[in-house]
Amino acid sequence: MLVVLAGLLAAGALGGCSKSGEPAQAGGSGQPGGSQKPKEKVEIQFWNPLTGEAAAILDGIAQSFNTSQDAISVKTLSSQDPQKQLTAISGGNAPDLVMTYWNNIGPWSEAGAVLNLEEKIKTSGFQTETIIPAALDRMKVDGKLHGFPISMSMSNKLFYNKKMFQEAGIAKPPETLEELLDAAKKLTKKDDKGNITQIGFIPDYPWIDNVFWPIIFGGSWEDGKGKLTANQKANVDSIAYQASFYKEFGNEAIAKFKSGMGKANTPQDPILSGKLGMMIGWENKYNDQRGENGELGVAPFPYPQDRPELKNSGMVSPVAMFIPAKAKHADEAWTFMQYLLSEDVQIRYATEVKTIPVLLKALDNPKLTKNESLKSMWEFYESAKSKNLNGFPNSIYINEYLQALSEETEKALKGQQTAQQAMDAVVAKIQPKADKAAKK
Amino acid sequence: MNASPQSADAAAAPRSAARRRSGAARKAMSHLVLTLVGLLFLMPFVWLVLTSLKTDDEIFVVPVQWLPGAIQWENYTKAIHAIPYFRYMGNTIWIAALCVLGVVVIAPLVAYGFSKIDFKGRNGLFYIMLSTLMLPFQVTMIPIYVMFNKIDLTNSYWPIVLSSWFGTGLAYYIFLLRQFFLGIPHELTESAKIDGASELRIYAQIVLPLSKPALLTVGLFTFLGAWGDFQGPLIYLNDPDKWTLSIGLKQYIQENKVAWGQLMAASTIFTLPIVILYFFVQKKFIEGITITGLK
Amino acid sequence: MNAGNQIGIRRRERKRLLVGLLFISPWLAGLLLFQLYPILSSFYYSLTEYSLFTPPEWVGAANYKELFDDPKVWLSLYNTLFMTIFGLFPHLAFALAIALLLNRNVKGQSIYRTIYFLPTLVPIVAATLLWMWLLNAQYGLINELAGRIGLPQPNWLLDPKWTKPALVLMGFWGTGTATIMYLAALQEVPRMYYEAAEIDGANAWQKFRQITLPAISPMTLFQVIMGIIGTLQLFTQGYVFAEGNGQAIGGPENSLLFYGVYLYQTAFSFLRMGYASAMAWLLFAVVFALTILVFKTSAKWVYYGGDR
Repeated sequence: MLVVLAGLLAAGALGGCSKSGEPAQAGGSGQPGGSQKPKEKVEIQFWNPLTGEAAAILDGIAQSFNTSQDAISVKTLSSQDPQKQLTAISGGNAPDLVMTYWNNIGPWSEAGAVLNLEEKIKTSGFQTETIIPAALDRMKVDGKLHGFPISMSMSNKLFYNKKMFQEAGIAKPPETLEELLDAAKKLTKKDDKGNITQIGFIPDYPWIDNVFWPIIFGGSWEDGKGKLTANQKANVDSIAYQASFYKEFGNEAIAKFKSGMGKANTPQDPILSGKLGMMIGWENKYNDQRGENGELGVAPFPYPQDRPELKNSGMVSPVAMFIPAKAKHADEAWTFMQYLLSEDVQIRYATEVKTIPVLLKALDNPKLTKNESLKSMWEFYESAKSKNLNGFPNSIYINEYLQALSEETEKALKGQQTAQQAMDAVVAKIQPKADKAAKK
Repeated sequence: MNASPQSADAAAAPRSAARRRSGAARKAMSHLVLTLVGLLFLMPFVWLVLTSLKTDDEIFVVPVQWLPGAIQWENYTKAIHAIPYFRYMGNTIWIAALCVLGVVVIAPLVAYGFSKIDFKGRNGLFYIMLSTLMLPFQVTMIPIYVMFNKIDLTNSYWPIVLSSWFGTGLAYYIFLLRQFFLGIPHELTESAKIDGASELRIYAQIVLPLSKPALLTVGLFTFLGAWGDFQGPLIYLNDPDKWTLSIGLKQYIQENKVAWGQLMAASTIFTLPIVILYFFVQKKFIEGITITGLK
Repeated sequence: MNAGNQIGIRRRERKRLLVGLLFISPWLAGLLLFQLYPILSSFYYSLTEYSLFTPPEWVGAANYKELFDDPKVWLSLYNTLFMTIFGLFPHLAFALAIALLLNRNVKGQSIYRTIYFLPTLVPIVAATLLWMWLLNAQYGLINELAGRIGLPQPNWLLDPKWTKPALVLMGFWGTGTATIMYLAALQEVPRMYYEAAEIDGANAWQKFRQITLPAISPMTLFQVIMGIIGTLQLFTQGYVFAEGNGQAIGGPENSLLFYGVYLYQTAFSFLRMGYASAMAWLLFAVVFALTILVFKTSAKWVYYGGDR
């Protein structure tokens, strides 16, 4: 049939077509020797999942890098979500540098997709101590660095509605978790039908946080020798503590109240509209509403009364960068990565995106700490130096582990099982996967 | 069908006045129900358009506020300037057109083979074709990418276009057209066969003209599919100049900030062309999906 | 029958085979060139442990054995079949009902047809916002109406018992395609059948039951088969629905963990493509069995106006 032939021909013709249409991969840096022409720049591909303005900020930084030297030209490509990153890398089309979510580093590294950076760090003399340890630790897989954070997100504060505190006669924000529960009770109101009309605190708002809470209780998930520790006392306590709010206010009642809550960051936002008294505080939330003149007050997140050494605990979730194992220009990517970790660039990125830099000394740089437009970030810069920051260990089974934690925690919060049962179930389910990973 | 010799239109029997009256009542009833339920179906689109004219604050008011306070036309101007809107739209139209072109040529041909020619093994092959639709995309996505990467077609439109021409999704249209062709009266094709016409001639001169509306249907669905496709363009295109509108729409959604008003405005301009296209095509289109040839 | 005749028959059969194959050759070429490799690959993966980045390692039937001990496989299959059974058939019935109304030669048909198709054209991000408001347990339109007529006001988005029904409810908005297809089928039902029936004194129900339904049965067959294939691979809706509500993948108590969602998570989040492929082939077997079942029964209820 003619059509088939035409189809096949088209396929053939298109092959040629696309080749000519493809951007010149300036890969061949090895110009024949003796050429007098200026050395051609090596082009490296930098994929990131950012969109819109954030993507444009990163483009700007790459642009500055490109004009600052004449050996490397960075080409950024935004909107590259993890699905695309994974498909392209697995499919044999790896870029040179990738920005991704921190929890991809574990699985992707163990699966062999990510370049182990130890060698490069050693030869270039890069000082890893300059990076915030809690952020850097997330990039370690089996103790080896497989990436670097470019910035980090942090939850270590308590945000509270000042007006609601006033009305309830609460003079100062709670310091301990016990005080938090008390304050929550004072801030909660029910109508005569038993429906909650305003609530003090919902431990799993805006989501079940199975990393934050155990950190607040000084828990951990792995003992460093392959044994999972999610069912140790501290972790179990953190679940039981959250469940106590459900016991106090009622399952159904909280669920019903939640369903009627307005969307975050809108005028109906529960904590802005006086429906919710307190919530876990992140650096990237309510930048315009918190601080001296805003509706929201900010305090360190409370600690367990009997463990004052856990003051100023918090969770760190860095944004990760890595070089794919099959990158064509790993050295150039590493050079650019170091550029992104230099103080000026860290400060520029943190300022423009309004995020926390990962370079320790940047946290004290007056360009950040005296910059009035970043005022709401100052206390986060300060607390990013805390020794009690932590995060979830990266591994190949990290996403299964996190998923299992969420599922079992949900059941515990709803009172379908005890906190201990929940965490035992998680360990029973995931320990075999950890054992299997350890064998490899 | 228009060419159907048994057209029964002329057979309209005289009806009594009483029957006509009850017919009128029933018609009024139909209108009532259609309008009421229709309002529910109109809701998403009306919602979209109204929302696109609101401020971000108004969008989430609970309980809902339907009408915008002051109309925010600037959502549209901002949305169009935030991304290379018309370039993306051009790219999207180009990809969709290429997909349509191939599908309306290939699908009816194959459907004819599966419905009008009684060859050995036809049913077996037909089941195989259907079964290719049953494997979820999640597990074939990577091998397909590997394949296109090996023949050096990534970062071009061809993986998307070739997948629509030769990929498993084509089976949907083949199946639809097969059901249609099976309804074309036997006598039409059989008498041509007796006159010595070849299958290709019967296909080209009898079946295709009879099924123009069906082809229009397939073309429209293909177009709509390509128009809304996000996964394909994202996975295969590494050059922002080649991006499509569905990737463009994601640019208003940032991790900690969504430009809702702009997103809704962009979505409205994204939807409008296909609504208009649909409106004008639907008359023919309706006749098209039919699968019984007699009237 | 003499020998010459038989040779003639055989020759004609061969010619028909050749011509038939030529007609379907574009699809055959597509199958061999573009589909076979991915399909066979996924089958091979299902017998291996494959993390997507390193070459697969052979494990034989281990993945298939694991399927039977994985409660989430069965939970997600249940969630998915729920949608097939309680989603597909009501949606098709609704589409047919609307199509029947539209078929009454009502004035402004073009407008109605467009209206009923509109929701399928609205981008899902925009539609999701509307859903979230409609289904809001306290302020949503649905519960407000339900309250007025004394019906229960469930917590659609957070109560695991109600999340799937909510999705089914929202699914009615997506019935435009089926409606349009049914309408087309209806418009082609020969009018003389009805007139003959009227002379015999048939009432409206009898006419529907004995003329309309059989006449549109090829379209029903198409809708049912494609509906089964489609709902069993349900993915985007479940994902978007949970996400739009700020829920983790799978929704409250995994009540929205559909097979396609779990499969996706297994493949791309847990990096277990081997196991995910085994899941895919299990699904394939289920869908294939259901399809064959439908086709086998179709001889009894599908009538083609043409031949064969």
